[in-house]
Amino acid sequence: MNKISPWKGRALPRFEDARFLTGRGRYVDDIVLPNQLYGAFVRSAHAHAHVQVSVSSALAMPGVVAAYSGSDLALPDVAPNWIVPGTKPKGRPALARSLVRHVGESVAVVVAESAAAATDAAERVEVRYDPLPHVLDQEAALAADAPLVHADLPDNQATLFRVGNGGFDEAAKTADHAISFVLRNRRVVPYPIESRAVNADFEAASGRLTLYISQQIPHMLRRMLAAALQFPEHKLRIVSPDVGGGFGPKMHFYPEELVLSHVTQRLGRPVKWTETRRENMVATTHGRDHVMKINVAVRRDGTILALRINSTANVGAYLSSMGSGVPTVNVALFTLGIYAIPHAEVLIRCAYTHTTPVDAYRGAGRPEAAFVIERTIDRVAHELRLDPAEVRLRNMVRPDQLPYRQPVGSVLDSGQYAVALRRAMQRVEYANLRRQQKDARSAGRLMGIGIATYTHSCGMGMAERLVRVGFDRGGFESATVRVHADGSATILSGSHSHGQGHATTFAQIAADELGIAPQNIEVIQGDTDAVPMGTGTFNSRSVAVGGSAIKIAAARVARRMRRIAAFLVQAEPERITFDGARFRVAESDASVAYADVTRAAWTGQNLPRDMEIGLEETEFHHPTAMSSPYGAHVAVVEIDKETGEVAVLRYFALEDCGHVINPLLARGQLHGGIAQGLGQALYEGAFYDANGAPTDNPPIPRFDTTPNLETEFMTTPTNTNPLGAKGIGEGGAIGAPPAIVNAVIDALWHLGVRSLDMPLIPERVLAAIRAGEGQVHA
Amino acid sequence: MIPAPFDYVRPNSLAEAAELAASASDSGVILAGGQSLLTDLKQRRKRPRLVIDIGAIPGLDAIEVRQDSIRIGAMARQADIARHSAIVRHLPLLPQVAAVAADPMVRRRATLVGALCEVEPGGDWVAASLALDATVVGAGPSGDWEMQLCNLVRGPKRTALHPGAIATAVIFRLPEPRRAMRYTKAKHAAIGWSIASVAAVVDFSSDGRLSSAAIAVAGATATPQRLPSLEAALVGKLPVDEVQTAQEVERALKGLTLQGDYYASERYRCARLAVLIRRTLIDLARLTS
Repeated sequence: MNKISPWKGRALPRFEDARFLTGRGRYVDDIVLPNQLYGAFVRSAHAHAHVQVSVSSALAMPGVVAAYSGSDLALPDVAPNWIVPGTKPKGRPALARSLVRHVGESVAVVVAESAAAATDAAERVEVRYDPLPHVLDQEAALAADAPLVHADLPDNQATLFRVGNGGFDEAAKTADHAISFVLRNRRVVPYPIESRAVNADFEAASGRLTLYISQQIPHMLRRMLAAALQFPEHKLRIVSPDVGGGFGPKMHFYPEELVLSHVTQRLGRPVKWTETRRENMVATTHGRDHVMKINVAVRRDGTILALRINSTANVGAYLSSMGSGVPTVNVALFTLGIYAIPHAEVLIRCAYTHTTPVDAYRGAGRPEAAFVIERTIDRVAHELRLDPAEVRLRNMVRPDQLPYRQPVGSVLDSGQYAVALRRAMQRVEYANLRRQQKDARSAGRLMGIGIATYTHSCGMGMAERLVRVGFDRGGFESATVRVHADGSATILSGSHSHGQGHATTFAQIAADELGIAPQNIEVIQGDTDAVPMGTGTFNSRSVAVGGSAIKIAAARVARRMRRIAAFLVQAEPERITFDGARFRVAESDASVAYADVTRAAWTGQNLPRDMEIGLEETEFHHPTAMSSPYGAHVAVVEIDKETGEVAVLRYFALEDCGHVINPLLARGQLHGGIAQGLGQALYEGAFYDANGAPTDNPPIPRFDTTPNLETEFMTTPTNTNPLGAKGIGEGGAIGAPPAIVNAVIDALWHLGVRSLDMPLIPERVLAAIRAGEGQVHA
Repeated sequence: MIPAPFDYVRPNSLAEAAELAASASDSGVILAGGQSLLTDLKQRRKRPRLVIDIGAIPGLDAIEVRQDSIRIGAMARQADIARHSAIVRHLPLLPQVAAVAADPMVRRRATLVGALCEVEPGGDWVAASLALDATVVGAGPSGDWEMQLCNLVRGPKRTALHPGAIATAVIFRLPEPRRAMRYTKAKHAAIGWSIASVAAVVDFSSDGRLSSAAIAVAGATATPQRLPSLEAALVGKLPVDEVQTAQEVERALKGLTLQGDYYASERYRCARLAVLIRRTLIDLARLTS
């Protein structure tokens, strides 16, 4: 349709703001059903113990309706749905049967008339724990004499993954330098502000089970839950209303929804459970957790000849949904970043430990990979006394090499990598910064500049490729676009917003096709009864895949409207134009009102029989390729050498995520990702005590701890989807950790500091400064 | 995050509250702004039988400016205290605390007297009030009472108050007009709690030497406290002499009971506190010279 100016590309404020910013969102915990019951889980305080559970005292408490231990419920384990070939999967028990394997594992559930009664009664469940030796660290778990997490797995190894073309040893012989070092990518707690919540409602009369749940992938959950419960999928409805942050952990299938879906059937009443913050720390999946040994063979000009990565990853006590794929496939394939490194050998061993399961967290493996390669580049640069930017440019894949197949199996198809880095350097006045750094150093101040580039692959994807890596998930996304009789429109989308603002961006996409204002378009998501089978939101795929489905479906609806209009004015459809109010015939005075067309479509009046009723189209968009956004980040830090405190003076991020639908929301995604990346770099972590319990008060970034962020978009369209859009959800979280750590080590290298593990808490930085000074003076 | 069961009363008079508190004795707790108590209740760290909300007692939220003192009632909110004109003028240390303690929503509900009675280890308000030689007054089973804050504070989360006692106000004598005061804090990067805090109320003679000093610390130490040995050592000295000041500070911190966690150990906090005190004193000295 012809239009005034496109809605795509406009920085519209989020339509959702009115309800989110005034506390009127509707989350799972806001939903109270008739005859509502409340559940409370009893959780292990031990990392590894035999358990004996008695619920009789809890049952005697006022208001208690039921209480179950693991042996009372004959439920299967919650199985992972990404099982990399060769993996030994161990699913999460619905409730522990005789053994607990991590702090926070549920041993019983109590159901009562109120949340308070359930909480009080949960304290009365008698659990006898006989503690057993435990192992928290993945390297310790893989050692010969480690306590076993699963008795039938004598080496605690969940999976072993290897890619690469070999040749490291040969390359090392001809190289000028071989450098080796270790990187630890610490475990972090994802910490969405809305914790998980479930309200399971079985209606005996209809045999229907409705599950209200804070989720990123409602349709996938329906399929997994139906299989686990042996419940007919057509009678199972998942409703995920407003979701207060997901970051990955809310796309997994958890024991709690399995238990409550079963319990509501036993009791015939709805049962609600809202995770407490403390439960969230120990029951919801964590992220990252790799120990990576790096060997790099390099020429004296900084050209990298070969890279060898030997990593051990911690998957926790059980394999969560994507627990075998995220630390292997999602890491290994991206370890060469945007660089043309001829030889690579990547070996990743995943270990079971007595800790909370680890799974996808914003970036899901790509941040770990970017950390490896971007730290490697800086390490090489500093060891060889070269400029880190120069070493990057020297090793980058050149445009004339594209498409370029890296020895780890990734194909880089497009990307102006050097242009992006040079532009970022120009924006921050890189040469000037280096001068300032020199001046600061001679004045006794510690200033550092850190660069990180990255690329990753998003907009999953192609089902035929997923099945090859053992990922039981679809790669498509669905959209139904419906224009109503009054001219307003509804989008039913299989993507699911957990704060991104789909109601706004998706309406903008459809508006351009339909020729109406996005304010007249409603986006409905997260209800499997309303929305055609979808896949959901993860892997920065919502715009690229879900948005493309909307564009295609809306375009088909627009064509129908034009055909109807053409019939009503008796002209050829090709001559019809639309000005937002009337369909007009080119070079003629004939026209018909928009409302007359939409009404005719839904009444069939004045239309011929062969013109179908309605204005509704559904598209299941199944991509044939994934897109590869990339970016260049620069951080400038100053370190107080007496306190070790790191101040981020500047943070600049240049991102190429293709065509941007809504620059305001895209920038918000970038800001959020960078904030989480800064958090991981500077202070976040799951800090376990010796008993295997994480600390109560993990730090998370807040507005007052986040520096001013400078962001810029560069647009190289992609032909991998009809919108020319790539992903924006994860880039910030991928780029920020290496940018910050590189900056801090850049500030301290001359003092003898060679490595520093995240998080860069002041005490650790100060210790490194002192140790470095000790070496320099020695 | 649901508290264990308790009874809740909201009396309309101090006499009634005092009677309830006396009969509940140590099974009762006083609720003012709830800054610490609500979290303690929700996490079931405290399980009182009776919660006595003093929010409905008339007059308890008053801030009275007297001839030589300011009296701040037990229900006066931190946000109101921080912008009270007489406090801004005479006790600028308190608005400085408000700028670095908690967040606007918490300060809107939280009270100063409540913070003094809770004695959190990172107690910013306690440290500042100690440096200002505050006196706490209240009611109790054996009548009205008055106590120097330094005598009231007994340890982390511990006071000398008898069961059933209700603190009703804190009284600050107006300091001499030329006193300089400064509150500084090294925050836990993301949570915002104190790793090390220092409250300094000082006076300089015309040659730049310290003529009086009241210095209190929090965050690094297990309990907010004055540092009398440091105060004594610094009087008559030039704080801008960095080396000397650093030595005095280091000496004064020896033997303190410290606290630490995964983010900042006792040792780090102590070092951080030393840097903070030294920089604060030097800043004050430069500012007033």
